[in-house]
Amino acid sequence: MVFQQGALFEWLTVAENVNFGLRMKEEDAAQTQKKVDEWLDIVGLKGFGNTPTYQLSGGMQQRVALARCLINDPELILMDEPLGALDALTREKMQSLVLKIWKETGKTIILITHSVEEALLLGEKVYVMAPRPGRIHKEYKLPFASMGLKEDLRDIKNNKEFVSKREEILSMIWNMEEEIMGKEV
Amino acid sequence: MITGFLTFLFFFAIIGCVLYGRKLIRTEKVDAVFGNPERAQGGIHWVIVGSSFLLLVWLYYSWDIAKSFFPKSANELCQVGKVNESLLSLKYLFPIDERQLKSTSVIETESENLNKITIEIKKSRIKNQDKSNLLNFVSQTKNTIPLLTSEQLLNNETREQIKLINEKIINLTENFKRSDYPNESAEQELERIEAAKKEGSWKASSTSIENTIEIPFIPKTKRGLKFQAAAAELNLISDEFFELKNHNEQYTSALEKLKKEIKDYRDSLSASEEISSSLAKDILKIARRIEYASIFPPNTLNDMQASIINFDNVQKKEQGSLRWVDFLLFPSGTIISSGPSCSEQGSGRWLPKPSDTLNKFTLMLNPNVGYKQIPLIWYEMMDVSKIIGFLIPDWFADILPGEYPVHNEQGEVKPNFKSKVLSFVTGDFNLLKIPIPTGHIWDSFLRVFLGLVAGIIVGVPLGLFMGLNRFAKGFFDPLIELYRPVPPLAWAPLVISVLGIDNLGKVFLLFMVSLSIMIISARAGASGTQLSKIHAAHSLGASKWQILRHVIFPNSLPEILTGIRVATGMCWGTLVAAEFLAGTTGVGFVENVAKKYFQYEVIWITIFIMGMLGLIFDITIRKIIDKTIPWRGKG
Repeated sequence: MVFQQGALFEWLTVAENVNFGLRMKEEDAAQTQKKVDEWLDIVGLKGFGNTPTYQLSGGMQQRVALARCLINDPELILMDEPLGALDALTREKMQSLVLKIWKETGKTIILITHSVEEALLLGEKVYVMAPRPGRIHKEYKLPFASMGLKEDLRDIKNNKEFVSKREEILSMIWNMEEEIMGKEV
Repeated sequence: MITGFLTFLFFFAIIGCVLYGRKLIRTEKVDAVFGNPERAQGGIHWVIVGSSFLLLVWLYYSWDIAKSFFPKSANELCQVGKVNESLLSLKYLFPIDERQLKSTSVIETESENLNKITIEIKKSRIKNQDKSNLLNFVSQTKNTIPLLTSEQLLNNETREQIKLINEKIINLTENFKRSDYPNESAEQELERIEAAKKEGSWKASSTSIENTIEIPFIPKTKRGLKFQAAAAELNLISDEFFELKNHNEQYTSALEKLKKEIKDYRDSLSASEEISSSLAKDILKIARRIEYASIFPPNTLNDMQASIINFDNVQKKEQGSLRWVDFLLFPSGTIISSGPSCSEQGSGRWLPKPSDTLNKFTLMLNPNVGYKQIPLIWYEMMDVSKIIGFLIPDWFADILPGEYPVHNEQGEVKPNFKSKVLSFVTGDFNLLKIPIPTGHIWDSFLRVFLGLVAGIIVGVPLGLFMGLNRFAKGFFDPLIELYRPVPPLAWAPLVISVLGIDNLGKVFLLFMVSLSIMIISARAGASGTQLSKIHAAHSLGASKWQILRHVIFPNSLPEILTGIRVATGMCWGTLVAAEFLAGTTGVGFVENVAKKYFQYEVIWITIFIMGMLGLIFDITIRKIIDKTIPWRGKG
């Protein structure tokens, strides 16, 4: 699981956070260390292994959380608004990082987000959820994530198809909102 | 010498720093508006002013400045005190310091007493015959007073004696003004100076913890000698005056008659008439009091009053510069003479001089002196075997198979295996000796430390458990919430009487104090753990125990350490009070004993030690906090 706010253990260093899962399973220390170095390299935190986590920026903390999760080689990764609390620039960088990891590991990732753009950009399948009662409202199958593996993310955002899809989903959500909440006067 | 130097140093430090501060205010450009905390930053010169002021106040009010600039003033003031003491017995007869003439006030009180007894007689349930008898005694007693206050009835002999005493006072006054008074011979002077030297100077003893006389009694100076001689002469005069009784023939016969009548009356009463008898006795008592109070006619003593006032003025004048020293350098009190010694009365008494305090402290630090045969802090060599014997329980030998040895017919006891084990577990053997700290300070420290450690060992796991488990919370909450709000000292009498006045009782009391604090803080830490962290650990595959050990415990560390800091302060405060209640060692014990004997130096030393130890405790824990939880407030 990756959480909205890192949920890192601030009493541990970056490396100790990352290897937490392996330590709990009491795996071989040397092996673990090798894996930690690998993952820190992947998320771009090489050399930060001995830094206390409270000295990192929000984006770096989120990357540590990502590495901490992925090092365990899980079947399925649940990301609960992992990029919600980041600034726009870091967010874009992290989006491409998520795509990169997805491509490299081929894991199934369930990512929850409130940004339509992010959903379109990262999702192969997008489920739009509706409240009261909570339910899946509509399902989309999208090509942009696979495109993102090759192209630049910013080009995709300006892609005509992308723009029209975004508008479609946004207006659908707005309509749904009005249906439920009543029209604002 | 040092005090004099320090006085000037502090004085000029204050003046210099105040001037510097004023200059800084004028020249410094301040951008910060009023209310901006930046304005309170810096200002070491004001710290110097503050501490110098404090020390100067200490020097001043402990009369150390007086001692250092006028080392003989206390001895001289002691002689003045002697004169005042002798003069007081004469002065209080007249409206000098009092409101009324002594005779007047005696007459007033005794008349009042007679009126009261009259009312009592009238109200009582005794026979009318007895009532009239008693009222007769009252009026007779009342009638003796005019016999004493009549100018015509005053004996010529008495009159002459009063005149003689008055002349003696006038004579003394005249002599006192002379510079060569009291005509001390060279031989006497040598003797006096020798004796004075032997007596030493004005200071608290630096060779004994016990209070000794601080003020030298024998006059060291000419001026002092003058006052001492006058005081001795005044004593003779006042003794002479108090032997004098204004009992003329009429009064004596009236009183005799009254005494006899009352005696006869009381003899005639039967055992059942107790009330009348005691009333008659009360009347006799009043009559006796009138007899012994020196009641004189209103104007007889006028001359004597005038000459006493005159002498008082002369002796004040003769004090000269000493009066100014007394006024300026002996604030809130002075040197008082009473009976065979002089003493400081006022702030100089309860606020010991810095030099004396330091001397006593040095003396107490000497392990051979200490306090009550126990050093403040020292070490003793202890055999390691004693520690082993303390750690291994004695029943260990008991449960071994076999029997303890029995003596044989030769009266010898041969040790067997079992008895050898017993002597091992009781520490009855010799190994190498290691130094172990000992003394009052160490005892206090150890009690706090043990109580605190015990509280932490029990309290932290229990608190965490209570924060995580419904059963634990429900089960232990009533117990803890019932005993926690009770002030620890309220438990002290109970705990001490059950567990004894030695270490066990006190450590248990401190354990109780620290336990509740540790439980509450550990519990708050445990229940305050962010859910997302626990979820994260869970999803990373940590077990229950691992979550507790690697997430909940480190996450509650800030609360736990803050709890330890609070508990230390509480334990320290409770310990001193508990040592006040009972015990034979410890800093609180020292202060309590010192209080009993008014050893103000020792009291201040213990206060200082406690402050320092408390500070050391707090700084240590603060350092530990900074070292162990650098992430605090940053998570």
